[in-house]
Amino acid sequence: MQSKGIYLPRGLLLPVAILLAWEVAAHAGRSGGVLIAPLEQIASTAFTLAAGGTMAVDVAATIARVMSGFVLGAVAGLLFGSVIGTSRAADWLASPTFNAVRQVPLTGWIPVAALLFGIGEGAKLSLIALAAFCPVALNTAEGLAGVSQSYRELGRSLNFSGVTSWWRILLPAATPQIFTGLKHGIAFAWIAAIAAELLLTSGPGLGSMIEGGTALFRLDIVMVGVCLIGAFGYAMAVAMERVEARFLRWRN
Amino acid sequence: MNVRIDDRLLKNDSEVRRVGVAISVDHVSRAFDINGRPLAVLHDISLDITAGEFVVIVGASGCGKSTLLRLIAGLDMPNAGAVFVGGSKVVGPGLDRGIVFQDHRLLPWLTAEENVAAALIARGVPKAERLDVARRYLALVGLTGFETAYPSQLSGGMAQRAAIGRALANDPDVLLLDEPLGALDALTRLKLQNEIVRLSAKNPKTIVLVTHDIEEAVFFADRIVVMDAKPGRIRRIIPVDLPRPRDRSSPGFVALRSAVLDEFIDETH
Ligand SMILES: Nc1ncnc2c1ncn2[C@@H]1O[C@H](COP(=O)(O)OP(=O)(O)O)[C@@H](O)[C@H]1O
Ligand SMILES: [Mg+2]
Repeated sequence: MQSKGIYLPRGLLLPVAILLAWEVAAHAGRSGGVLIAPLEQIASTAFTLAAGGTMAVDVAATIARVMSGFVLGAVAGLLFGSVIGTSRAADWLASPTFNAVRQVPLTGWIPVAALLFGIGEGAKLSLIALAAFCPVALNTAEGLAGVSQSYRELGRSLNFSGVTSWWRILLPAATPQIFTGLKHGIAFAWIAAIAAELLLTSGPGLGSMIEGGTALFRLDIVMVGVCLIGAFGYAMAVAMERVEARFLRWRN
Repeated sequence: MNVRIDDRLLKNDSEVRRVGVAISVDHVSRAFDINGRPLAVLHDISLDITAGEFVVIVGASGCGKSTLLRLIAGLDMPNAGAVFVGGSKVVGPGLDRGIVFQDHRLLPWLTAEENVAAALIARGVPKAERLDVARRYLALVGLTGFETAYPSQLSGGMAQRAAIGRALANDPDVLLLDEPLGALDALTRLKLQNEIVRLSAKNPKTIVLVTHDIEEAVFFADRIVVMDAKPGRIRRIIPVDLPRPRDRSSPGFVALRSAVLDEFIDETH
């Protein structure tokens, strides 16, 4: 028997507690001189930004960037990972370089991208694409190379050609891991987009919005940006999981 | 069928074998490289199997039964000697040989009918026709109603039925079964044993089956090949002349089963 009290989904418990603590701290801090924007101020700033239309412009700019960068990087990662994961010679030739490249943290590439492409769209896109590329390539390669010998043997016993075997056995067998790569890829692309926008400030975007808020000492604007980043990042992860569930229906 | 003609040697050409001999294993040896050292797994095996014959291979685990079957399947190549199927030398896998592994090896992302239909892809059969044929073979192995089920939704016995259906889908001359019922519970195994007998009576094929279940061997076999280990070789070939369908409790059956069992106990001293 469950008592009829206030029903709160488990996942909301922690955020509500944090928000409450924030609110208390904001009001207490006001007297102590600490600059914590209370929730109502953040909400009204959010409303103003939304009504003014700049929020939509920033959100749209970031999402468009992430999407195009992710598609570029993921397609390249799928192709590269397929070659590495299928051909031993290609693996031997290219894997050491790839493994070295992916050890460099994204922030390490930002100056490189800035010098090569400036602070415009090209630099941002290439950083986002690179961020998506690495996990997709790695997981595609590992997924393909790790397909069990018994499945490969089945393909041989059914007289499959190399192409048929790749398309009908290797690729589907690697799909779960490829999706792991795609999920990491979209998350990294999102992070890369924000980092690139923060450090290569030019044009609209959530990173620029935060950067602008910081310059004005407006924690409320910064917090609106942070919340939007969290919300849209989460939405993208969920969307990717939906796609994955569609592709991997056979798993249960 | 004429046994006389079957046994007559036609030519001494190594590429042409005796008429009526479906499978000829000719002085086959196979060794594997284990940490740089050769491990002799099969040593000088010779065995002729007549078309339509049901041969069961028994022997201790690790004696090379699967290796022998894989050589016939063309999934592996001998270091010496050769295997001939239907008169031609085996150089690789072929659709004239259907194979069932101990694990059902159904592709988990395909439904039961798609799994069976996959056997027809290499022949270039159009998809709709492939699925038609697949459904027929699923019906043959008793899986009507499960055509669109995924392997994860099938029981072990049902999955193995589907695997048998896949092996049959090309109507191969030769059926190779590597402990196909080894992973099943006793009741399911009994059921599928009867099913295999029914299938092989309905559509006769040359069958080579590996098992370590002696009763299963006596139940199926025209001849039982008993293998020795280290290196794997043929110890004895026991003809089984019991009438079919076989009655597991008949005196002949029981006597033969214990004779084969004795052969095994001898082996382990
Ligand atoms: N590809 C392989 N590489 C190395 N050793 C193998 C390979 N295949 C089989 N063997 C070895 O050959 C022996 C016989 O194996 P197998 O034919 O599977 O035996 P059985 O089916 O009779 O149990 C075993 O010792 C096994 O370890
Ligand atoms: Mg075996």
